[in-house]
Amino acid sequence: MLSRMHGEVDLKRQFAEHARDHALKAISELSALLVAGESEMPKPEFQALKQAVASIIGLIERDVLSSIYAKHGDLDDLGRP
Amino acid sequence: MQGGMWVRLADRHGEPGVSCGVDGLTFGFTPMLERAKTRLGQSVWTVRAPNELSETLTKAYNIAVDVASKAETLGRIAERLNRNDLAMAQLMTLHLITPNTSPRAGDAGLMTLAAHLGSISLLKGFDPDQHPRWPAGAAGHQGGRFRPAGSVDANPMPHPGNDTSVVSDVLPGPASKHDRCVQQCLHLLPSPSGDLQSSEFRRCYRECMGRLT
Repeated sequence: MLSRMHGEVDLKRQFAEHARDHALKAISELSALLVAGESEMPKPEFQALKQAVASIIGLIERDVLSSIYAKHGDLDDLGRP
Repeated sequence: MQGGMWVRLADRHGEPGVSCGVDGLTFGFTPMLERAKTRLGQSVWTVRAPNELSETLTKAYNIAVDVASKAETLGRIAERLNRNDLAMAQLMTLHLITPNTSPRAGDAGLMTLAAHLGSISLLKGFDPDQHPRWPAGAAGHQGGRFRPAGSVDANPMPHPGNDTSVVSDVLPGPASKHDRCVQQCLHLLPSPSGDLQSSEFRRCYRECMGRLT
């Protein structure tokens, strides 16, 4: 997404790190919400929340983090297999 | 009839195929939904785990089936049943277009069934985007048949599992690769290891999306 929005703009390393950290923080917040919701919410509502969170995390992975890692592979928190 | 195969709801639970009634949605004798209690003690329908359903259908069809792409539709069917909207639930069930077992005997029947399951995103490992079809009414009576990938399709054929002509407000559009990968990896949330960055889910999602090489 980042590269699509801004063409082939080179993500400067410092900004790339910053962007990655924000994206990962967003994922952590969403994950924490799921952990809390699992014990607090009725199952059907939790399943709906889980579905939504999964989709958002997937989009962050696909549209934000992958653009960063394409330019700065060494910043990839999951590393390479 | 689509692709040479009739599709209908079974009249009652236990008959071959899928049935939908006030007592739930079943495939043969196998329930596809289950009852759950809300915090207020209300009993509601929810979708059974997709991996369980995939195993059940795989055994029924004797072909590797993956219901991940249908999980959202199954959830909407459950919602309709919870609202006592049986007619819409049955319509949506019909639009799952799950063929009645069993296929016609022989390799041709099996191939037809596999192609049909693939076209409605139920065949495990089958990506309909990689196997486009000719649109209905195409020249040479080849509508619905597979066409070469990359060939021009000026009038794309609607996804048969998601034909929106009847109930466009409630049926989802064709499942995207993103949707399919989310469903495939959903069981990894919350993270089994407790990792708040959901590494297991993200790895699975990446692999599914083909980002890892």
